[in-house]
Amino acid sequence: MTDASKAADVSGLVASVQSPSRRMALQIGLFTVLFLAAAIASGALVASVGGSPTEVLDALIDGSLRSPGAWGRTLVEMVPLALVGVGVVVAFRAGYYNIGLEGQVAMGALGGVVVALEAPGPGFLVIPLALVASVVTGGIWAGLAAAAHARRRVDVLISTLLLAFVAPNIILFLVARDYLLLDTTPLNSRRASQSERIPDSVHLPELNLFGNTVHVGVPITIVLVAVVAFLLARSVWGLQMRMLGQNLLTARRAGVRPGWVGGGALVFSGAAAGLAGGMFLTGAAFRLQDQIANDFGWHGLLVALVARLNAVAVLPVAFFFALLRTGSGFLAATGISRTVTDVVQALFVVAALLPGAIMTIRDRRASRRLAVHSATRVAPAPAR
Amino acid sequence: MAAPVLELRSISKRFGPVVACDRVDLTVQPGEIVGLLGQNGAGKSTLMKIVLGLVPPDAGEIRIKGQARTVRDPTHAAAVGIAMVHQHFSVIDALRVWENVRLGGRGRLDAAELRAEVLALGEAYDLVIDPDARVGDLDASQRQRVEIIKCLRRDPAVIILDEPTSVLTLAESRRLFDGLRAMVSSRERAVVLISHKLEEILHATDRVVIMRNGRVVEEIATCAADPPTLARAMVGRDVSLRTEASALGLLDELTGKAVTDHDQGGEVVLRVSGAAATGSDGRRLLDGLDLELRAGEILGVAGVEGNGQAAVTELFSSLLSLDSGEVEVDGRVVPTGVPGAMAAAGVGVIPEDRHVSGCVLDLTVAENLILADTDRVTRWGILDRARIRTHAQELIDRFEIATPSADIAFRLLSGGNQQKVVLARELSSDPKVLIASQPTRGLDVGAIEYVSSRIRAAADEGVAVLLVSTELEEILELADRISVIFRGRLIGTMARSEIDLDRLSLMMGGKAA
Repeated sequence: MTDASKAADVSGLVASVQSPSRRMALQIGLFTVLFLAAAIASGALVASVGGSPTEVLDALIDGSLRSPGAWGRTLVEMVPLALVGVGVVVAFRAGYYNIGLEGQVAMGALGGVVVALEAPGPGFLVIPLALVASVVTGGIWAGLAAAAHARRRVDVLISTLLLAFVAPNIILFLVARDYLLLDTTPLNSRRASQSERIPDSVHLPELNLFGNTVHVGVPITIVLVAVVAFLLARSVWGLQMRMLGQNLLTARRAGVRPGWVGGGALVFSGAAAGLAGGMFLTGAAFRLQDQIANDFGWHGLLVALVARLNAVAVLPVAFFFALLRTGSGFLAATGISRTVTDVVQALFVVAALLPGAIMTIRDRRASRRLAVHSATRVAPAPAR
Repeated sequence: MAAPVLELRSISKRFGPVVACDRVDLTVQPGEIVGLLGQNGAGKSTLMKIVLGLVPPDAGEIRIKGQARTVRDPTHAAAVGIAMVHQHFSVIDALRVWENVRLGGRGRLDAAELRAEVLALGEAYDLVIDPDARVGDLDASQRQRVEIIKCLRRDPAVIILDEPTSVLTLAESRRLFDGLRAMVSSRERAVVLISHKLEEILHATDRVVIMRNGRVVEEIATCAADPPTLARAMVGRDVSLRTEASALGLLDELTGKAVTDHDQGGEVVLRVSGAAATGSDGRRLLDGLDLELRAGEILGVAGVEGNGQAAVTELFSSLLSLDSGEVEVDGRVVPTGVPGAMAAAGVGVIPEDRHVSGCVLDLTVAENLILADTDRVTRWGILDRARIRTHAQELIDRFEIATPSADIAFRLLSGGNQQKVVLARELSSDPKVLIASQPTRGLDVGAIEYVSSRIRAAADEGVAVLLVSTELEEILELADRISVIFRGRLIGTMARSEIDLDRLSLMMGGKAA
């Protein structure tokens, strides 16, 4: 190729690629504007139902950060969200759209509770065993979808979603039978559908951080997310996963086995959700009932989307979601109904998701322009 | 003389810094066939897109039958008398011919009338086709007829054909040109034939307009033109190399005296025997394909599109498993359809559409350069970034890939450079066999020359190359031996020196000679 044509190529290229710093500035600008808009809309909504926006904001902050022990609770709340989120990042990157996390969280808690209640032995043995059981049951629940996809091309989106509705019903069945998991102790004389409380020895050990209590799940989660982020970016496994998610045919040609790598990613996300369920059980809930998953699955899915499938970003985003979750618990005191806080939460999610969507649309337009460019690119100048 | 049917006055169009059309004037008289000649990227397609209303011009005027018009979109273009037969057909496989012909129209469907119309038009212009055939069952040349009939139905003043022969055999092309002649002789109608092949322009047109770098550089009556003049006008310099002859469609140049047979002394490294495969829709993709390929030779597989070329590439990309038959590389049987097996056995592939199976657009250039071969840059399953970067930089230098950095997204490279990345990756892993499927499709002359010379060099170093292409020029340019693929099997093989275009053309049409 001649130098002249090389130069033409590069100039055509640079013209169409935006500088990263401008991109970043644009994205931050979008975030700010949309967050302000969400805040204003939320305030208007609260005012319209007769509440005081400042009081509500106060309550949110009190509940999540300011009151004694609050940020510890928020960190604990962050654990399941971040674990589910990082699993979703992995599965989605590989192109396996697992949206049934809620069921996998519940099944993880089920596996954990069985071990926690039945396994004899000291806590330091039973706790890891219970968590392993959570990982396994969560993984199996996603594995069903993976197997159905590998063998019969059953759509993962649909199978995972439907399995999510099966899980709580299985749990409900188990915790309503006294010969199975129903709590038959005198404390539960009304025979509410729930399991026995797990013994104190299998509660996750707690740490004291400046007067806030968190369990060991918090540091473990942070380390796990960091490891997954590193592997996604830097390992062969991560590269194969990204290849698979973006171009199935190229990936297969390069030797990536979709069943193993993609199915593996799906099972991994189920296992991470299962671990989330196990940690919630042994660190906060302590007993099983059908609604054990507590929306962690759905919210964790949103965490991954808001983080734009970036594993590192999962942690701060999960913290933000945890903030809204713990904070809204305090809202009842302000007389605002729970539905309103749900709407407020949703507004912030939309505000967080939109900049990504806008950037994607921009990129697509740009690449379409680029395609026109290269199709009509001026032919190389004559060689001398 | 009557008013021109189409007149373009000083049309300009820029895309960012690129001038696609620069004050282009073009006049088309009724009753003539105008050839619009130019390399890829000369601005032919943009000009026609402007006429069709697909791209708004920055400046200039379009007059149709003497009247100034602003063409809003292709439907509007059809209404004012402009119709185009695109390179890629817009027909619906599941529908019948008469239904397809009616697409885009309004009002009540009258099957009997449409059938009669299809038959009448077919009769008049030698485009005979069964109106009740399902388009999915037709071959490429028949589909093209459907497209043309669809255009003719609206009785357009100008019909534009964009590279119409890329899906046709030589004989079919000649027949098409005779049909075009019939179209313009009988009515107040004109045809614009877009092409980058000199031969067909000389064969089929009355007048040639040559574009280069967005400008009309020459306008000449076809009877006064000869290939060297046209080629010089088109490329902007004297054309001598065989590569360029192939890029310009000069078949005579390629079959001429300068051809010698290449040494074929190498060992057989690739052997396919009795390969048969079925598509997911139950269609036979390969039907008893046999082939032997020796180290250091280039075997060209010619044929009309849709005769199993895609399946051959897929087979060697491990994307297709055989129902029966075997593939042996270097004497060892390689399982088919097992991810990575072909690559591991030493088969490199330059796929027909690199975006489908050659690269991952959103990974970086450096990552795309190591896709199938991560072992060399990996320790304990962790990618060594420094080594990926040096590897990438080395290939970028060696293959002259124009990119500001190895770490930008592959999607941002131009087509020619993307193809170079694929080529660099496939050749750098020291393949025993290289499958090249239409490796120069859509590239400009400079890039074509480059890619061709790399493939030749690889063969000279002992790589066995299988070149699959529907462009006869590409095959004649590179191949040492030529086989024809027809309905999923290879029929007849001839050495480079025995090439006889007529015989080749017959074989491509399925008549074993």
